Amino acid sequence: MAKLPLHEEHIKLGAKIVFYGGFTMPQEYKGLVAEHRAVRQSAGVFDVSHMGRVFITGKDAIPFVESLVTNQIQGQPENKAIYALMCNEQGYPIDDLIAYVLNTKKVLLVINAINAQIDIDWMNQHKANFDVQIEVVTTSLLQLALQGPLSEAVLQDKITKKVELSQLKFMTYQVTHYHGKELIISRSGYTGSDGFEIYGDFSTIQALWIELVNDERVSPCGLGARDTLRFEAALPLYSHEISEHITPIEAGLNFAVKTQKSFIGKDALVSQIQNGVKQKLVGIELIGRGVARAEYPVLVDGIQIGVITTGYILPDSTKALAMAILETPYTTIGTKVTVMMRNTPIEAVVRDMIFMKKQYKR
Amino acid sequence: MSEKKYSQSHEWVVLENNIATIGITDYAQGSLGTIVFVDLPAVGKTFKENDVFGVVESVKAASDLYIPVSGEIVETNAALVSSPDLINQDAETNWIIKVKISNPSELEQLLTKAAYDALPK
Repeated sequence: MAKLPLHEEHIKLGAKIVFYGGFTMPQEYKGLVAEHRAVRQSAGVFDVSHMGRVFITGKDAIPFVESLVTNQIQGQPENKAIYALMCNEQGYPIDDLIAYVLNTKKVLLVINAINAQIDIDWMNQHKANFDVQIEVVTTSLLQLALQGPLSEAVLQDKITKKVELSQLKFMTYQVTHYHGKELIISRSGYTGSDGFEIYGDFSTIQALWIELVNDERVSPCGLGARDTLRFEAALPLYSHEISEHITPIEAGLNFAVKTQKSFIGKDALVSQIQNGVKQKLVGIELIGRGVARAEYPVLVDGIQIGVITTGYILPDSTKALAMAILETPYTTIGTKVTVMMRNTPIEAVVRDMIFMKKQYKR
Repeated sequence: MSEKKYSQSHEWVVLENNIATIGITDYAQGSLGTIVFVDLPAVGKTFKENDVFGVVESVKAASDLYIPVSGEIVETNAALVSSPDLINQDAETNWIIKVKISNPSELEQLLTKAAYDALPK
């Protein structure tokens, strides 16, 4: 089990520590609910250095990444943060990721901690026809996420005035400086609120973390709130909403699948787009009392037709909401279903996945 | 009313006329965080000491509740159905179940407040 590079900072702040993705991670500091509210109302900072970070470098860096992922990499406007999935031949995701084209010979991929080694093995297996190097920089290039409506004002106070964050649009990045060291600042995140993901070396990220957590507008936030926030925004988590059994089309991520280009798994996904899917990701709302948690079976007339992928009663809500992967005939909004909660059947209904209005600065 | 006793699994018990009133400790509610649902047992159901009698769900997770004494459920706290966070507000007053106990000697195995507070947590 590896410690995060900023582990001691989390201990100083009294974090409760859990194990996740091979790292000891802060679960919460003052408490999940307070941290969730901080991101929705003010700002929260997350140490997300557990995420895998990989530089793809060399003459064929861009075509190589293009061949691996579902979204289009070449021909995008400069400075885009590109969400994509890396799939196997059958169209099932090995992982989802963010790609940053830093220059024509260098792409930064940000991948999930739990899949990092699998991803790297997969990339190595598929690089034979490309002139590329694969360099894992997870422990040297650290990552923070500053999320919430005050993120822009907070971060602008900390960095050089040469970069105007108000001009940085959702899913784009800028390279800037902080105390003379390079930072990559991306207007993106995993919460549904406005915010930034920030990449830099250890001393730079440590100094920025300390400055951020000492700003009264900012709360340190842990994995607990990270999951409730991404759930409320209906953002997928690998191994829940997408997995080796759930394709991007089944999960409704068609926006990130570009069929005019070639990539591994394209034929399977094109077939799903043209012929329809056998299962679909939907929203679920419980009518009866309870909480629908991941893995709970979903039934119609006593027969299982799917499974809950994530579910919560969110902070400041009394609604038990969930996402579920269900057989397509049962995915119409308003369909009555039963969620089995520890052998107790709970009435529920299929609904949309708009649990909140996303607050992105487009 | 008997002295309040505590289990290692963070429940408390008070006995009065053979009826045990049972809740969870302040430490337990604090480590669970905001409670959003309490899955209560049916009245009339019987349990043996250390059986799971219900589940308390915080925002982040579900946690089993263990019955510290054997017996039959005679009442559950109806206020928790609409306001499960009463447990966060005052865990040591807002009880969860009342049980007609079948083996009073089980009470003797439980911890005093001083012994419970001294548990490594």
